[in-house]
Amino acid sequence: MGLAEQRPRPVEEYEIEILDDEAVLLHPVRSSIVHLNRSATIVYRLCDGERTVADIASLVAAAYPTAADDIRGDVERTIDSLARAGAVTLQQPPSNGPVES
Amino acid sequence: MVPLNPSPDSPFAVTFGEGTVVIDSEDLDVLREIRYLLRHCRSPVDHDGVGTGVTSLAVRMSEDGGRIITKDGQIILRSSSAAALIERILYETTVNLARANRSSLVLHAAGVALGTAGVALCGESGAGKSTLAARSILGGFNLLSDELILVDPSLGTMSGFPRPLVLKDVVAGLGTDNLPVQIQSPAVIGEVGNSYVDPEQIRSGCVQPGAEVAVLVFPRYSPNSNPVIQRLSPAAAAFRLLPRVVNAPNLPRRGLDAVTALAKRVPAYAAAYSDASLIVPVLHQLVDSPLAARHTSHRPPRV
Repeated sequence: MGLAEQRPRPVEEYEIEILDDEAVLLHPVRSSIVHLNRSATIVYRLCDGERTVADIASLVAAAYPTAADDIRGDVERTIDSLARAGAVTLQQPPSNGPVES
Repeated sequence: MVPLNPSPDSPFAVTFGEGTVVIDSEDLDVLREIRYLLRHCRSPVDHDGVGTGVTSLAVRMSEDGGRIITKDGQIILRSSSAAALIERILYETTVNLARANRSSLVLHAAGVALGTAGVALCGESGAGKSTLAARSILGGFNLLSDELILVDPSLGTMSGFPRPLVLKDVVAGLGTDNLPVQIQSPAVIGEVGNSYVDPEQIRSGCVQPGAEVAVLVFPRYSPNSNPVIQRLSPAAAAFRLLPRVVNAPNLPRRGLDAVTALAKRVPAYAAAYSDASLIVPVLHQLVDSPLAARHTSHRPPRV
């Protein structure tokens, strides 16, 4: 399954502060700190564990139609970075499971 | 009770915000040396050596003729080297004073000031904070501290822990050789190449207790680089400040609220340099600049 179908969810333990539309995330136990620029902050705030990466890219592209061609790749790279930083987890979409007859 | 005006051979107390450390030594040479080195940090009031935020450090004679250091009665070092004893007492004093603070923000940073306008130099270890502080003193700034500052983000003020400057030989190329300073005595040359330099020997009367935080500077030593100054967004400043919070476990949200309040209030700059003497005029410019006072623009000052 590709990244586009994954559902990123913020790691709840992080404390978050927004300064001039840029986010600072602090994990109080691991003491890890993440700084997000404005566009990454927009993407992070759209991560709710329900939307897929493709959904998020579509929402951002709708807000910035002139840059829509580049946005899907930018959003995927941003979410991949957030996941590597431990700020979001990537969840599989729910499986339909076997159908009982 | 530690007397307010003790003899040179009496225990004494030093304070920093909510922290107090009471220092005693049966080795009187060591006691006198530490008392001299920490004379700018002495408690203004008597202290009985017990209570919240109080640590007791003592040098005792051991049965084998050596020395031990105890912290609140527990042995933490055995050594016969006066330099090692003094260095450990200075280290433990600094660390315990910082960690004792439970309400104000304690930053691992140097602080210098021009009048009431203070500059917090928030460099990582090895970034040359002490050398920059020494150079700043030569350039007309007063010293708050080369290591720890106590910040009240709501008021935008800071105070310092004015211990001796610790100049590391390992920070190459920063030009410490031609500072007009003298090393106190062989006893205060640390065993790992640290030299403890009295700020008064750089410029008499240069120690200042507090200032307003006018600008945050994040210095970074970069070989063969002319000074490069970059304005930081408040979030970028907070990101760089958070690892510098020494007493984070004592603060709500590990200091995030206090740090963001400071970052919103005070303009911040990253400064790359190879020659510490060249950065001091930049600090003057930042303190004098309307950008530093009002921080409405992200345009960096001309260097």
